[in-house]
Amino acid sequence: MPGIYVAGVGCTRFGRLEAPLLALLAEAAQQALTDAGIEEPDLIVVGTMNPEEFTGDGTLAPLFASFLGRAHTPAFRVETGTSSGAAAFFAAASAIAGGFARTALVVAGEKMTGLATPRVAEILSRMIDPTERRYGATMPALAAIVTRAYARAHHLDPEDLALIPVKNHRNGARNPLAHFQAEITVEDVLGSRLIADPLRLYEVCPISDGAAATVLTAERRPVRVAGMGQGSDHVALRHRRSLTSFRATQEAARRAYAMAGLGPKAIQVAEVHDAFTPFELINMEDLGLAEAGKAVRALLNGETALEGRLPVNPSGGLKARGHPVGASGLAQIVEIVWQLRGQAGSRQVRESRVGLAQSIGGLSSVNWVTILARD
Amino acid sequence: MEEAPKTQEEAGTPAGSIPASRCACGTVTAPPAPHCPECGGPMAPDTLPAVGEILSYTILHSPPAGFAAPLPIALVELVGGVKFLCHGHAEQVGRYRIGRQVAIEAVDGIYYFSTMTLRERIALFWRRRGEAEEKVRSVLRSVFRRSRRP
Ligand SMILES: [Zn+2]
Repeated sequence: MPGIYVAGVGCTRFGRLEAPLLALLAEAAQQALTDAGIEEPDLIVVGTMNPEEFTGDGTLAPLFASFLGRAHTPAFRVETGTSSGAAAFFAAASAIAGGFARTALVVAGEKMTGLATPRVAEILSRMIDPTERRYGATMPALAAIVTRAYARAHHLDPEDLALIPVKNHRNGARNPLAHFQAEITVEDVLGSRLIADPLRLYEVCPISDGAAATVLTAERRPVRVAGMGQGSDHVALRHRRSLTSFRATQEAARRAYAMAGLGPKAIQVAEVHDAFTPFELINMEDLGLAEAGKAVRALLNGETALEGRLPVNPSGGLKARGHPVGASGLAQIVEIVWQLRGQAGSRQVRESRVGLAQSIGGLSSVNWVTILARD
Repeated sequence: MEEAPKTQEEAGTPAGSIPASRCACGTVTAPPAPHCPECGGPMAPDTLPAVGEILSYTILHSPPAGFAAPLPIALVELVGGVKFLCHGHAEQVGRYRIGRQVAIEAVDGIYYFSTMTLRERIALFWRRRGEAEEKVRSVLRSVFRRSRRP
């Protein structure tokens, strides 16, 4: 297979933003094109979850291509719920690997804060099995059910789990693009209101606007796409084999590691999907970065902190960087590129050659793992 | 001597049964589904005893429109490992534990799990039956009154 390289990256500020969706996407895209030194990509792939309902925008790919002044560039949109950004990256990389394009612009974003929170929650709940939705199940509700089962299986206290948002806010405070740039304490987490018992407000990602972009090329560049993989599972929680791990991540990781010819031990920095912060531990275990039930030990020992052995979510993660749903999967990849290039500023981890991004679609029904390497 | 047929109470299914569906591959789902979630094959109607064990649960404090807070939701493991999502009763949340045995019953087509003792469940059963009989009697009374109108 021909090589796939990341030539350029870009990302807007995440948070409650004034700019409309197309402008956010264009801002990230221009940054990535400039960073790549490429003016005219062969292909544009757009990743968004639900612009039809969030902003009333439809047929987003040609709309965006025209907005960018590239109305005649082939363009399409990819959607896998909250992992759409990673899916768009996969689609563009596949086109490069298949020889359909020499260069591709991947851009992903979402504009969510124009709607009231209950309406956003309703749109997000479309990722839930209809029978379970009929019972009032929301994303936080199902995540809470998983969290309680996981915490019980591995004897975790709320104090242990609270350390995850504390760590990720600490990283976010060093990320000028993050939605939240203030540190928080364990007391802040445990004192925040219950959303879905046992999940509290500070364990749930915010509603954000933002966009990210990458430019891919078949020409050799320092950062290479080493491995990619997708894994799927039942949408319905009641049909899942396990409540304490996500099969979709395990399968995605297996495929990505096989393609990269690497194992979990090679990973030096990781961005994982912490929309509900206890999932950070589950994800680490599903990715093979920790044994089942042992991820908490790495957290407690500081191994996943910025200066630790295996920094996890140096960007602040979805919790602190924010979660414009379509953008997050691609923003994780952008962060890994910055970390591998040594361009991550005050949140730069020690010199790394291999990094991993893991993105969850729905409640882990369509997940992606992307491994990047600096040659 | 032939054994007398067991009542539901004696058979361990105090709150009746839950409609389910079974596939030739062995997969059982509740509520019933037309197609098997594992292999896509057709499913045949089946029932499962309406008792199980709490696998995990949440108490939702920000429920969607149409639901009152706090809203308890649990994933209950039925006989044979079938996982079933249902509601709880808000006044019982203090008694929820993972692994706790619960009874499940439908109210207006929505399934609720209950941590009640057997005695409490019997009392509730008679009360509901009383309410149902009262409803029937009032309907009959109104029909009777209407029929006597000139
Ligand atoms: Zn089957």
